[in-house]
This record gives sequence, structure tokens and C-alpha cells, in this order.
Amino acid sequence: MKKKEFRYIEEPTYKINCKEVIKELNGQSHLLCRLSITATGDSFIQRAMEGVIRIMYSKEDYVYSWFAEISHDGRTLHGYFPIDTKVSDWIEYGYGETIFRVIRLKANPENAMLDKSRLSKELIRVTDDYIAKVDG
Amino acid sequence: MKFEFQLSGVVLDHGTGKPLGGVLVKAYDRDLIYDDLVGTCVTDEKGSFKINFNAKDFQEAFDKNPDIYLNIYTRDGKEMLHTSAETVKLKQGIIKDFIIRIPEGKLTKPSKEPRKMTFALLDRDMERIEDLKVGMSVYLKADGLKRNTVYTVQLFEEKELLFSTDFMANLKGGIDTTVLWPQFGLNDPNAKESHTLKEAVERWSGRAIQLSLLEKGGKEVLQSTTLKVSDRFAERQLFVSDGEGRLQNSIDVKSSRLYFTTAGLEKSEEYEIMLVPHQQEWEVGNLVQPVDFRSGQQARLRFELNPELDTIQFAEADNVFPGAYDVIIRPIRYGYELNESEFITVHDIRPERFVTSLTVREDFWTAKPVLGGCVNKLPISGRRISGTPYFRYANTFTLGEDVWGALDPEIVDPGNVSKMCAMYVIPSKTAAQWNANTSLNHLATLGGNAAVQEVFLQPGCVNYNRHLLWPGANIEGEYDIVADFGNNSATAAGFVKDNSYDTPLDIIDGYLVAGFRVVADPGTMSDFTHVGNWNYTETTQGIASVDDEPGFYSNPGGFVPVTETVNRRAHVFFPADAPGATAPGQISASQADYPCVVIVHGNGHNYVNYDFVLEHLARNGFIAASIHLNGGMGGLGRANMLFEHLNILNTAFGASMQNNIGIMGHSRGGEGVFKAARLNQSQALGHNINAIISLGPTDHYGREELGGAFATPLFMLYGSRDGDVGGGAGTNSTRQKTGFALYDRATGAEKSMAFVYRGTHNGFITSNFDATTWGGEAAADLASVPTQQAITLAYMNAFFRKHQKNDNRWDGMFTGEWQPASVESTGVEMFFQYENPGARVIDDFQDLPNNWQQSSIGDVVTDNGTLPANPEENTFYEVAGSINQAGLDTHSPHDGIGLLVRWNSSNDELTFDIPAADKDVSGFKYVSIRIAQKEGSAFNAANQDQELRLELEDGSGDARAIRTNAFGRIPFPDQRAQAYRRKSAMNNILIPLTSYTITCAGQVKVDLTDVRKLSLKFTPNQSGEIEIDSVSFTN
Repeated sequence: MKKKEFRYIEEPTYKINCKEVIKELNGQSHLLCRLSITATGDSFIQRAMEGVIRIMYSKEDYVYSWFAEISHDGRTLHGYFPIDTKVSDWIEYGYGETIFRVIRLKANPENAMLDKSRLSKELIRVTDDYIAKVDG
Repeated sequence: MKFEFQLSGVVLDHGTGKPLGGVLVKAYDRDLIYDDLVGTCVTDEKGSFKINFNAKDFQEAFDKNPDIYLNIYTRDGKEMLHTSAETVKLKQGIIKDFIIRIPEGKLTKPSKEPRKMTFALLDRDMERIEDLKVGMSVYLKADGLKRNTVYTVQLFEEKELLFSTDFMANLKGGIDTTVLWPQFGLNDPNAKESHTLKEAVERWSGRAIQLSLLEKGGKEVLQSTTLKVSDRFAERQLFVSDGEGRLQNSIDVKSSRLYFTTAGLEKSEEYEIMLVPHQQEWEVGNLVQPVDFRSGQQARLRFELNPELDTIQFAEADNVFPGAYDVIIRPIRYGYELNESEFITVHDIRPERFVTSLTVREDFWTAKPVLGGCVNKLPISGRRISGTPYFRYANTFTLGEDVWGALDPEIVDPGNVSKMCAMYVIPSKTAAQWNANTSLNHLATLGGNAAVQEVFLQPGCVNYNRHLLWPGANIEGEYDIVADFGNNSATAAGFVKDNSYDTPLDIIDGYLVAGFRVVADPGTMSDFTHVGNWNYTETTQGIASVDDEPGFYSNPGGFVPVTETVNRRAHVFFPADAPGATAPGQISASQADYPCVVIVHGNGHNYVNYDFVLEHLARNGFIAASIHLNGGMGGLGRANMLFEHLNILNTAFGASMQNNIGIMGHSRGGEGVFKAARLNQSQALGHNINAIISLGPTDHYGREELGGAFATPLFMLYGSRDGDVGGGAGTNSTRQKTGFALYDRATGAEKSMAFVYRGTHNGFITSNFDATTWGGEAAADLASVPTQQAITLAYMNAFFRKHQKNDNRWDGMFTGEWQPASVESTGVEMFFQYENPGARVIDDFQDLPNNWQQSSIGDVVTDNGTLPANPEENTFYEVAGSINQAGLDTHSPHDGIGLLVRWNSSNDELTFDIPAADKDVSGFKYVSIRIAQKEGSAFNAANQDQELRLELEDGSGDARAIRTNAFGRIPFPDQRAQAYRRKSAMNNILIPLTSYTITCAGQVKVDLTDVRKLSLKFTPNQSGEIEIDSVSFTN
């Protein structure tokens, strides 16, 4: 059979970025940890189910985002976590209760913290307790 | 042809006495049982109509002379405005004249009570202004005026006239919110310089500014108001200035620096300033996309500012590309996510409504379409649109649409800024007409020359000068707009218009080509109110067995046919006289017969998804069908099934169906329709296939070449982000197998191809999933499905009407000269190739052996030693390091041979000598070139159009060079997500040859009977790399 050249479609790649941010929710400023997944060769679709990011510590031990947002261009999924969330090298994302993709990193990404001395005292610091109180 | 009965007349507005152009007149003969429609006519701009008919059009048993009455409708025939009170008996050979007066209440929907006249001055938040503050922009809004009437607003300072300007009331009797005085006080109508904020406060503080509203030409002041000027300037200010803080909304690229002045900002440690493309209005939530500087850096910089008042240097002026921009300031709050927001936030300081922050002009002379000549041709006509950018320049308007004009003060002689001009809308003149006579006659339907709007040319930017020119434009035709500066008076009171277009003083939208046109929109128009729908299946039509191809192959005939068994199913739509028609026998009786269009879908598609196209075509007088095909079928099987269904349709519709066939194929069907044309001819099947549309076709089953004995007019439609048949560099074929290659190989008939930026494989019909699923695209980066469907409806209807009904109203759509309003209003970018047989080809580079210095017409090509490297003539498509020949470009989708040219100086050129035997090009309409930027070339500025000038020189040495971007674009290749699929896609630039002969101050005319040289002058850009083909003169 004659030979034919083929091209490989590259696998999508993902970059992880983690930092503290101040986000305005319901007119008030909240301090949160934001973990962002930016895709190349893939995109995050807006759909009925909410997006979710999981930070895995082991198969049974994990935390998941309080809520998630997709960037305008569909390339980045932002997951918002309580402050002081530890990041690991095992990140997953999906929609609703379905995980679409598992991302294994070579090392734990850094969690860039803000200088607390520059933050307003009126700022709401989002913790597990705060989320439990808000979510009821 | 002589008619037995003739009637004529005029339709007038009873209230104003003005003629009513663009209304539909229907003449009926009143009978005992059914009245006969004997003829219809649309009134011209003088309200006149003529209807001629013969006895056979009405005659029944005892009826020798018709009893005529007239019904008057809106142009689309949907609303009846009036019926003539009595019938009139017509006699043969005698022309009857009618005068029809439409009562006032019939022309607008009557409101419950008369609207009170209101007149308000508003600030940027659309609140009434209590007192004026320096730096604020003043907006005007009015209601309760007489519709279609011009009003004058006068502004006085302590009773001395500052300036006056006219506005046209729209069809509802209102003046929509419009800028009256942008950045009040920073410029002074009576001073030559603009002021700093502090100087302006000193100048204006405490002064009384009076505004008066009058009907144009009237003496009675209808409304007036007086406002005092505060001793403080307005808060949250941001404007472009000089280094001292003087307002300077526009700068020349030769200026040294770009400064911003800010005042009254909220306190912050740091501010981010972003330069973004201009749009009319900015709302919270609008997307913010900073532009790039020439250096490649994003125009998004951070500064520490004094929030009370500060002036900072933002950039070097020559680092900014020419264009119109807005400036957004964002206070940076430590740690806040909104600092990164891609959208306008409540904290951002955004520009005033309608006010362009900054215009960066090119050099005054470089900007002219004619090199070295002064014709102030620029776009003026435009439309307001919902959603960003809220206003867009446009040159095509649908019947009934408002035509706006926005006048750019930056292109005129600087001495004319802050002066009065009169805005004429006139029937478009040809070059010969302009050369013979420069007089201006404002449209009679707008009131003639007495009602021309006289406006004050605000300095700074085009968007301060936006006016409603023609409310509800209702007469089809082509028009020009002229801003006449008349006696060029230094004061508003002294201005007198002179009803003449005088270069270089006056500005024109038109001259080289029509300024704008009013046309029926093929995407939304309809001739038939009702359509019938007949769906059939194998239950009634049986099952077909046809030959098909078993898979992809390269060489024509290089396959063994297989037999495919296919259920005969189709959806069919047709014109009807009443709702609910479901059988072919119920086709409308208003015509004897109808042309037919058949849609052949692709693999993975469903024939039922094309109903919206079929219905639109049926409303435009076609029998339109979409046929079922099995999954997996190749191109041949689809062509053979087309013939099966044509037989069914012929049987079903009988004499009601013309042997006048148009076919539209999608994807594999898009290649199948090429095979259908070939097989129809080779097998003598007898179908008159008069039009072929190919949508996102494959080029996988052999190598179809439409031409020769089966040459057929062709329209190719293809999306730049097609995720299914996306082509791509690096495969081992001799070509990228997409619609470009099929288009290139078609010969012998008129052809056109639309390359739709951000269009997809299926978005023209159903969804963009091909691009997001297989193309790696984000949904937000694609043209929306409604936008692509609008293209489908407009272009398919116009193409089939042109070639099956001889309706040539939309020819300019297929040369890429203009888009219909339903498409233009979406802002989609489309780039066209166009070719008409009979062109005089100067060079198409097909001659072998490849020799760039010898043109295909047999004469010399030279660069006069200017280019940094010899142009390269070779096959377009290259597969580096593979089994195929080296070519010009791995990203070229073209099938053929062309030329690659690179330049590195604006003095570079490439000249084609024209043999004496071919020197007379006066019989052609355009000089044409196919051209593309080479994808990935470092010589082309990122994300910027390229441009150059096409020069013609005659035997006397007289030469004129025309800027390509006056007539088309050479766009940067669409940067789709999968880089290997980006294309160096050519499009045609068509320059009217009248551009070389029309009077242009400072420039000689070229003798088109004696053209000896055609040159590409690589100016004004310093560098570039392009691919070209098909250098020719054409019609």
C-alpha cells in the first residue's frame, strides 16, 4: 500500500495558576484563593451544569471550588476556594458532578499570596466556616 | 412595445404636499365578482408612476374598457395606505393622469394624543444639565417635532452667536440623543486654540449660554433654554491633549508624543490606561481589547497620577497605528480581580457617548485615495446598530432604513474645522457627469436644496458630527453625500452654501464610486407572502439505486463505483397564494412557472436542516427542495441523487416548474454539485443548470474542474474557521483540498468566492460545533450562527435571482464592493474573489517555465532594481521536505501558480509593461488583482491590513496611482487556533478605471485608450510580503 503522510493533532495542554484575589460579590469585597486552568488546544464550554475544579490530595481527600467561572474567550476556567487552600500537583475539572479531565503536574504550583498589610480591614476573608454559613 | 391602456400619476403627502417616492401603486379593474390586478408600479423620487397594460390583462365577457381604481401600499406591499375613492373608466389610447393624496394619518401610526414638543440638554449620564461644567459633553434630545423636517439649533454666548447646526427630525418626529457640544469649553468656536482645563474655567465661568430651537428657515424660536457655566470643571475627565493639557483629539503620526490629561479621578495608587478601538458608546460589561502598538507591545500601561489634575505622556505618536481609538482608565486597587477584567467595570472611566477619544491621522496627502491628488473622498454614510460598536459606517441600506452621516473633520483642510457646511444627498453621478457638471441637487423627497441641513463642523473627531440624513430611505438607487463648505465663511452667521462640489474644499462620500445605495435586501425581502410545503418520502416516491464512489481518491476516474440504495425523501417549499398549501398543484397562480433550486447536503448533515433556506427562496419565487442522502455517500452518489429528485420535481410540478435549475451543495454535496454539472453535460441529461453554489466543499473525489461545455456561474462560500474541511499545511497532497482549489480550477463562466472570517463548516446552516469540537476554537471567537445564516440567506437568494431570474440588482455583492444591510449590520468580515470571463489578463503566472520577468501577456515585468530580492513565481502550495514540488507557501490554499513579492522600502515597485496591441483598456470597468498577505511573514505588521497603490501610466507618460484600501482590503490572515490551518488566502481588489480619469485636483488623467504600464507601488508601508495572481483588466 502506498505510503501517506499524516499529521498529528496535538494533545491539549493546561497551565495552572493559583493566587489570592479580591472579588466583589454582592457589592462586598471578598478575599479568596483562585485557581485558574488555561487550556491550549481545548476550550471550556458554557453549559447548563456549573463548572468545578477539584484539588486532589489523594483519591479520597480533596477540596472542590466554591464556584467557578469561565473566561470570555472560553480558554480559562477559574475556580474559587477558601483562603489558605493548599494546592497540589493533582488537579481535576469538570461540570456538575462529572470530572472531564485529570491534570497531573510535575510539581505543586505556587499559591501567590497578597500582602495582608495592604488589605482593608472591611474585607471579608472567605474561609470554610464562612462558606458553610453562607451556603447554609 | 405599445400598450392598449395607459395610466400615470403622482402620489403626494396630503399634509405637506411633498411627493411620496418609494410607495407601491396597484391598479385594479373593478368587476362584478373578482377585481383584476392590471399592473403595479413603485413611485420614483418625484412620486410619479406609470402603469401600462392590455385588454387581456383584465377582459372578461362584457368588459371592453376597464373600471380602474388604485390602491397605494408601503413599498413592501404589506400595509395599504390609501385607496382611490372612485373608479375611473379608461379608454384605449388615452392616457389617464391621477393625483393621489395620502392623508397625513395614514403615513404614521397615529398616536392617541398629539405629542408635546420637548427639548432637553443632557449630560453623559443622560440626565438634564442644570449648569454647564467645563469638559462635560452636551447632548441634545428632542421630541414632538414634525417628522422629516429640518430644525436649526443656535448657541449664543451673552446673545452673540457661537455657532448653529441643523438636525433632521426622524419619522417619529424626534431628534435622537446626539452630541451638540463635545467637551464643552475646551474648544472655543471663536478662538483658534483649545484651552487647558484651568484656562477654560477662567474663560467660561459665570457666562450664560443660550440655546434656541427653530424650524429651519423659520424665525419663530420654538424652544429655548439658558444655562450658566459653573466655576468648576466636570469630574472624571480624560482626554487626549498636548504636553500642556490642551485638548487635542486628533494627532498626526508625525507628531512627537501622545499625552493624556485626567481630572477628578477617584483616588488610587495606580491607574491603568488602555487604548482600545473606538465604539460609539461604552457600557459596563462591554469587552475591552487593547490594541497593539507598532512595537508589538500591548497599549495597556500603568501610571501613578494626581487624581485631581494630571497630564502624562502615554506613547510616541508614531508607535500608534492610524485609526480611531478610545481611552479607558482603570483605577488599580491592590489585589482586586477586576484589575484584570476583560470587560468595562463600574470603576472604569470610559469615554463620553459618541465621542472618540483619539484619532491618529495619517499624513494628510498619504491618506488620499489618489496619490498626490486632492479628492476628499471618505465614508460619511452609516447606521446605528444595537450592541457594540453602536454605530458603523455603511454603504448599503435596506429600503425603509434610516441613513445617517458622520462627517470626519480630520480629513478636510484644517482651516475648515469649526466652520459651517451644507450636507447634500444627491443621486450618484458617474465620472463623466462629475467631470461635466459639479452642481448639487439635494433629493426632492428630502425637500430639495432649500432643505439641505447646514451643520457646524465640530473639531476633534468624526463622531461629534453625526446627523440623520434620510429617515426611512424609501427609494432604491445609488447616492452620493457632499459636504459643501460654500463661501467658506469664518462665522456661522456669514455662511452661504453654493450648491456645488468644489475640490479640494468640499468633502464627498462618492465620486470614485457611489457613496451609498438603497436596495431591497435579498436576505429579508420576499415577493410572496405565503409559501407551500410538500414533504415526500420513499412511501410515495420509492427507493433509488445510484452509483457512488467508495472513498477519497486523487486522480479523476480513479475509483471503482459502488451501488448505493437511497430512500427518496425531500422537503420542498414553493410560492403559494394562501396559507396551508401542501401539494405542488397549489403553487401560486400569479406566475406561469418558476425556477427551481435543489440543495444537496453533506456527510453527517440532515436534509431537514435547510428549511429556513428553502422557505426564504420560496418567498422569492423559487421551487426549493432539499434532498435526503445516506451517511457515508461520496460526491458522485450525491450528484446522481440530485438527478433522481429533479425527475420527481418535474413530474410533480409539471409545467409550473421551469427547466431553469440552481443547485446548492454543502460539504461533500459542495463537491457533488460540480460532478452534477459535468455529468449533466456528458450524459446529455438535459437539465439547464444555470447556477451553482458550493458551501464548504470537499475536494477529495478526484479533481473536478468546472468549465468547458459545462461552465456554470459559481458562488463559493467558505468559513475561515471551518473545522471539518479546514485544509492545512503539511499534508502530502499537491494542494490543500478546500473550496479555494475548486474555485481556482473553475473557468469559462462568472465566479465569485466569499471567505468569511470566523465562519465555520456548519454555522451557515446549523451550528459551530465543527470548529469548537475539531478545530480547537472557542465559541466566542467565531461568527455567530445567526450572522452566518444571514449571509446564507442574502447571498444565496441574490445569486439564484441573478442567474435564474436575470435580477442584477446585487451584482456588487459578488464583487465584494458592498454587502446587503442584513449582513453589513453584523460587522462580519468577508473577503471576495471575483472573476468574469473576458478579462484582459496581464499576468496570471501560468506560463512555464516560471519566469517572473515575462508576463503571460508576453511583455516585460521589472522591479527597476528596487526590490530586496527577486519575486518568486511558482506553484502556490508548498509541502516542505515532502514528495511534492517546492512552492511558495505551505499556508496557501490555492491551486495554481502565482507570484511571491517582498519589499522593504516604500519606494519599491513592480511594473508590468503592456504590449501596444493591448493598450486600449477603455472598454473595461476595473483593474483587478488577486492578492494575499503571506501567513507568518515577518515582513507584514501583525494584525494589520497591507496596502499598496496601483498605478497606470499612458503613452504620454501621464500616470496616476490609486490606493488599494480605497476599494478593498488586503487583510492579515485570520489567526485561527490551529496554526497549520491558517491561510494565505487571496481576495480581489477591484479598482474602477474611472478613478484614473475623474477630475482630481493636482493630478493628471490617464488615457485609458493608451495604457502602457501597470505598476504596483509598495507605499505607504515600509515592508511587506504578498502573493499575487490574476493581474488584469475586467468588467
